[in-house]
Parts: sequence; structure tokens; C-alpha cells
Amino acid sequence: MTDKRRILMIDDDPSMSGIVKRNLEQTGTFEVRTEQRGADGLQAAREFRPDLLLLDMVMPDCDGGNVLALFRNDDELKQIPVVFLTGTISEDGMDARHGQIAGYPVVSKQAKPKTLARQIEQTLRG
Amino acid sequence: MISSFRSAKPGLNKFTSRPHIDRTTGCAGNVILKFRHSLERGLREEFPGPQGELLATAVSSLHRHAFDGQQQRRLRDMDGAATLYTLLTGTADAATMGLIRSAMVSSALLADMDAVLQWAQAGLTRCTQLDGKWLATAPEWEWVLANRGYYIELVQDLARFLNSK
Repeated sequence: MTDKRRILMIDDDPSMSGIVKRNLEQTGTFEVRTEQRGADGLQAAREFRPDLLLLDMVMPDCDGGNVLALFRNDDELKQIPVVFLTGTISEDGMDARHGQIAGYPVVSKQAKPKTLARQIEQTLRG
Repeated sequence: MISSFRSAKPGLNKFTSRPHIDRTTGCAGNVILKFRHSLERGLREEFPGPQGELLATAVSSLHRHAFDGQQQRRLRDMDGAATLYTLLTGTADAATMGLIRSAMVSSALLADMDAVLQWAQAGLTRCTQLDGKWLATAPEWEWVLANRGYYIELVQDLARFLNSK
């Protein structure tokens, strides 16, 4: 049994997922599972039991908003905290918004790995 | 009151009888509107299929071309944040699609290939989830996804042309 925090990352870009997974797992704190399709997220979450979801905002089958709605409508999974990733807003743009949109933590894909890890830890602490 | 409205000539401010002047261009407002409509119509006629529609709908965003890169990026981030807000709160509607279009034009002006791709994908995903009017825009988003380099060139050329004096 591992005491690492489990992160389920859903992003259609496998190279981005690979980089984030490597960076987060290198810290020794996280275990990361990746999925490329938003629609596969629910099933993956039931199997993996993540402590946190890392969701890309823009994906071909359904976007981060759609995936969030799926999780929030599922009694078993609705409490899982979420951090969103976006490639459409610059790091400065997210800094100017204190890393939040609509009350959710959002990290720019341009942000440094440390910034993402810090945001995840902060969100896990609640 | 009604007679004062009737007596006002098109393009004239009804209270002062002076033409409404557009602050950005210094031209009379009704003239600007006619130019814009003519240009949009012409672009739709001249460029076949999705290209013409994309260029025509980009015209209203292209006044931003006059801004420098930093301002342009700030505006794009504002559109982006407003879009994400509607997606995360489940309130995406026609205005969201307008924001996505606008952010895609801004990204093209910044020659940001990745962001153009992301916005086109966002437009394509969401257009199928709104009413039938937006479903009709699917070929435009698909065209950008398949031709993003050319799309960026076209938008930048149009912006240069509109900003030339």
C-alpha cells in the first residue's frame, strides 16, 4: 500500500501528460495515472481512486467543464478536488487572477513544474 | 419626442444633429458600419466556404491589431478567463462562442499556433452542445484545425490591410 497522493490527469495531449507525470512523480509525493479522453475519466477514477483530478480544459471529446459536470453528478466521485490546466491563458494571466477562475484552481500549461506541484498540494490541503 | 427621432437623419446624433464620430477611426459611425458590412459581405463572396466566414467574423475583433503584443496577450487572457468561467459554471452560451472566436483571432495575431489549435478545438467541442445555429460553425473550427498556419497568415494579412493608412 503506497502513501503517495494519487493524481488522475485527463489530457488529450500525451506528451503534455508524460511531462507532467514525470515531473510530479519525481517529487516522490505523487503517483499519477493519465487518461486521454474525458469520457474515460469516470471509469478511471472508479478504478484508481484518485485524491485529486488534474483536468485539461480543452479536449476533443469533451472539455474540462463537461468532465467536471460528470464528476459532480456522481455521488461516489463528486468530492474529489480538481485542479484545471489550460493552454489558452498565459502564466501572467493566471497570476493576475490569483490562479483561480470561478472558484477553481487553474494552472497555465506554461507554468513551472514547481508551481503546479505547489497548487496541487495547496488544493489537497483544502 | 417621436418627431425628434423621425427628424434625425441616419448617422446624425439626434440631440446635436452632428454625426456620431467613432473614437478609434475618427469616421462617422454609420459610415464605419457600412464599410464593415461591405467588407464582411465581400470576404464571404471572395473566399469560398469556411475561410470567408472566418475572415468576415474576424473583422470585428481586428481593431485590436493596433495594440502591442503585451496588450494583445492581456486581452486574449481576458477572453480566455471569461470563456473558462462559463465552461466551469455550466453557463456556456452563444456569448461564449463569441469569446472563443475572439480569443482565436487574438491568438492568430500573436502567431500563437498552440493557442489557435486549443481555441479551435474548444469551439468545435462546444458548438455541438449549443443550439443548431452554432452546429453550423463546425466546418469553420475544423478548417482552422486542419489549416492553422494558413489561418494565422490570413488573419494577420487582413489585420495589416485594415490597419494600413
